[in-house]
Amino acid sequence: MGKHPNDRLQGTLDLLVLKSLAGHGPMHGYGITVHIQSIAGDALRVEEGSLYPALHRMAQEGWIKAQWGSTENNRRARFYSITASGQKQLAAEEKRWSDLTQAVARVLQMA
Amino acid sequence: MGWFSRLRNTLRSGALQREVDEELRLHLELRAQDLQRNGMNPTDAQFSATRQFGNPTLEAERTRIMDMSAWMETILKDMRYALRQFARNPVFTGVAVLSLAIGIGANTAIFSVMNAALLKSLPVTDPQRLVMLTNPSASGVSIGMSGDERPLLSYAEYEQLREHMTTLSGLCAVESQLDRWQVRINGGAQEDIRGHLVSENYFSVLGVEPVMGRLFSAEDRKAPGQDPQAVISYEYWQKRFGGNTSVIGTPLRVFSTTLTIVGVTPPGFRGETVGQSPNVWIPMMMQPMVLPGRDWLHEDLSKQMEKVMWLHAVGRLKPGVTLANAQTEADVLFRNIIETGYPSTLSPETRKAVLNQRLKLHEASTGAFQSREDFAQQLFILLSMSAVVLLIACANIANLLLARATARYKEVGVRLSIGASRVRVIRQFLTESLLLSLLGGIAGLFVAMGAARLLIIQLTQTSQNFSLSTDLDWRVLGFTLGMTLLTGLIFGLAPAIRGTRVNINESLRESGRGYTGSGAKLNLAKGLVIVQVGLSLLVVVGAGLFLRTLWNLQSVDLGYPKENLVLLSVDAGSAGYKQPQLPGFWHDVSDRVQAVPGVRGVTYSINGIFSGGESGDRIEVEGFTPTKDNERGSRFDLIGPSYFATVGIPLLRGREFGSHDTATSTHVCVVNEAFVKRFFSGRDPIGLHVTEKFGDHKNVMEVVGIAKNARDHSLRGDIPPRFYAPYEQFMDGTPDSGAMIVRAVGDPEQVLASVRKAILSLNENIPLDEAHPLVVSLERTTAQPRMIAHLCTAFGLIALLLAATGLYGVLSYGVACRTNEIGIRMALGAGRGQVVTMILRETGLVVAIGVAIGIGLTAAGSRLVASKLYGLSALDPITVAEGVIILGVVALAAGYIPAARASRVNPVKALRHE
Repeated sequence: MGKHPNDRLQGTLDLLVLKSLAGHGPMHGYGITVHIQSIAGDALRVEEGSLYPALHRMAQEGWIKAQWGSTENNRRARFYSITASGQKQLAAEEKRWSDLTQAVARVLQMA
Repeated sequence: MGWFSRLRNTLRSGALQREVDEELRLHLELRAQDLQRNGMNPTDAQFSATRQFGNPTLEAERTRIMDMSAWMETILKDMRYALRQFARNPVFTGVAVLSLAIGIGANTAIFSVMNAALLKSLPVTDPQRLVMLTNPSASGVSIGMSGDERPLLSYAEYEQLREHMTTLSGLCAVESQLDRWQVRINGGAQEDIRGHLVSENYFSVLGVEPVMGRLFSAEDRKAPGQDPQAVISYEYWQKRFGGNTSVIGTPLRVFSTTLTIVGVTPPGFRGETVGQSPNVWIPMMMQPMVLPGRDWLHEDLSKQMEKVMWLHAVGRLKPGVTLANAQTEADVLFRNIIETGYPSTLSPETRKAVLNQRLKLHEASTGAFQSREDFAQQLFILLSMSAVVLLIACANIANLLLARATARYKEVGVRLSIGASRVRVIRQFLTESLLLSLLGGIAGLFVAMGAARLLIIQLTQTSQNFSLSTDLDWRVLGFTLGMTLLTGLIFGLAPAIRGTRVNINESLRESGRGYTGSGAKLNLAKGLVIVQVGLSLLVVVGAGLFLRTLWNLQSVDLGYPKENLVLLSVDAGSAGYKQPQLPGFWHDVSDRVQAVPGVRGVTYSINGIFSGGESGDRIEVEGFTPTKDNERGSRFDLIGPSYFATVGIPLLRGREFGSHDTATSTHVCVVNEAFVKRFFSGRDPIGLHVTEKFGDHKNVMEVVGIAKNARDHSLRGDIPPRFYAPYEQFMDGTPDSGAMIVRAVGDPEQVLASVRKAILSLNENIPLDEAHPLVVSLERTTAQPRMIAHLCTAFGLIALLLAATGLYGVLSYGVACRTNEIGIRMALGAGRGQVVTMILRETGLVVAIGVAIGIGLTAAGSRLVASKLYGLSALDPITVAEGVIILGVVALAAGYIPAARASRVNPVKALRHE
């Protein structure tokens, strides 16, 4: 992928989406938003507009796959689920995230 | 989403947009519903949902771009990666691109000639609406009448059709053969110019506009001789006049008439006949002036039995009219024309034959073309051959890629282990292959441009007036692109699939040699080499068949010595000689030529030898009752005194003609052996009578001699029955044109020059455009098989070279893989000879299977070439055996080097290597 100024933040969104899909199973875009917010509360706000480009990008990378299905109200919706390669990516992202937070935590403690 | 569906997304972004919009709309609706559930009123909920989301249109756009750009980006990444790989392996890249360039170049060159000659529409307005009322592959002037389908029309018949065809918006006529005139331009020296007489409406029917000046039109048609204009072609204008605008108004003197150049046709327009490229078009009304001595415009339809059939008729269908509609109308009209167009006094039998003539309409968007079928057939053979060579090259590149895939075993393992999907790696491999073939294709276009020119030079030798220009239009470029992509897929797919079948653990093991899993790969490589051997045999046998055909044709016994025979076609009619003078004229010419030093004998023949023209008539033979149709006619030639002595055809019995055989003496003829066999089986023909018939004319001749069979017009097939008659006794009187046949002593070219001078000393206005030694005409007859033989030989050599490198590569690789094994064998006491034998046995097996496949392929392809062969069958055992031997020797040579290398393996080193 090309370089984005908010690469780190994007990585965070990817991580959250992948984790949610890994934990909860297939969801549509709105479902993912609600899922993340219900767990994280108001502290973390998913940029709803950025979610869809991110979902489509991840689908291109082969981390998640999209399928048309219907909601409980019988509305047509696109459901996303995590792939094997997405699982690998999730593991890598998680590792990176914990490295990062640990590093930040160490700096906060020591400084 | 798969690779393909992404491509589909890019192409069908409308559908994609709807899908993304639907997805986002659902989000907003669900959000609004939730807000409402929390007590917000519907309007506010909707507003709030949208605000929270941001700009939906913008986000939808960004979402879509993600779908497409990610795809584009991986492609670019793959391409960059591929180019790095190429730069790292310059030898591999060079070899692959070069062999592809040759393969694709050869195919493109042949296809571009095919395109220019057979597929491209004429550069005229709406060529799809053009129809020909005559046979597009006919050419020449024939006097008499035709059988079933009328190949060409007389001027009077054309005029009738032009006046009455209502399904056509216009009908024009054009001379079917290309004329060569000696002209003086602007009062300068005599020079050659080629052109056509065309009806005055020619350019308007075709829809051609001048680039300069004006083109003559139907209004210019007044009376014979009243329209002294000429239009020249763009190419001729550039070549002869350097594109100078002052060309308009330039006088052009032909015989005793002066024409004025009035216009220039647009670039690319070369008339209606492919391959002719006239320099000049002259209005039909000028026929009596530029083809003097003949009046082909005036014809009293109802009185003349013999029609001068020399014109093509090209018409333009009115909008909404189909070819079938026009055919129906033409059928009725032409029936009318011939019903009233022949003498009313004909016998019922002759009348029936006359009424049998019909017109057949042909779609004419690609124009007329002499012997189109034949041309298409030979190009198709060449194209098939070059496609096979390209396939062999593909197999080579596939093998190289396969070997490289093995070298990249570890790299692929690493990529797969860090999360690349196999499909992703296959795509990477394929991108490399396609890029490689694209490079080959681009280089191939350059090869093609040169090769097409060479090919056209070869083709030009098959016929003196043939000219063609190829260009890279969309059809040729499309063909090349399609072939390039197909090639990339053919040689790329197997290595990509095989190369990514990697055992990750094994590939990553530090000490792994990377060769362990290569047994299957070696089998695939061997399979490819077997295919190469098979295809090479096909090409080599093909080349052998055509070389033998050429050899057979060149060594055909003509029945007389062909060396030192010289022919000049003499056109007394154009020089103004009329009937009563003609017998004297031919005597004078003979006398003058006879006096030239170096001339041993001279005679006359109306058709000459291997000139392309022949005569035939219906005959009745005394005491013979015909039962089959081919027993009612015979070919004939009108000849001068001492014809048989001069040409060298032995007379088996009787006498040949002398100067005492005149119009008023007893009419006589000499017949050939084939004639005797068909018509006089078991009887003595001398003294019996043969009656030549045309319409209700008759010429009763007494047989005075029997000539040995001789080949005078065709190298192939059985020699047909033929009779020879003295030219002065012909039923239409002495001919006004014909060929002088000279038996020379010494250099024929030199004698030819002196003979030409001698004839011109009689009258300098006699056109002598066709004058050359017989061997030159014979070479022209064999030019087509020679071209096929030469090109196929070239293809055969390339195929052998490719197959040899392929075989060499695979065997070397096999030896490298088996160094250990060979070392152990030698350590255990195997001798060098045994090792060599072992490797060569492997070669032998590969070649044997390949040869078996190759023979099968040859048998399958034999139908394609059978009609082009002479003196042998398409599965000629000797040729096939030769091909197998050649292939075997090349394979042994290719196999011997790795075998010798294997035998030099040092057992100690080999084992330590482990």
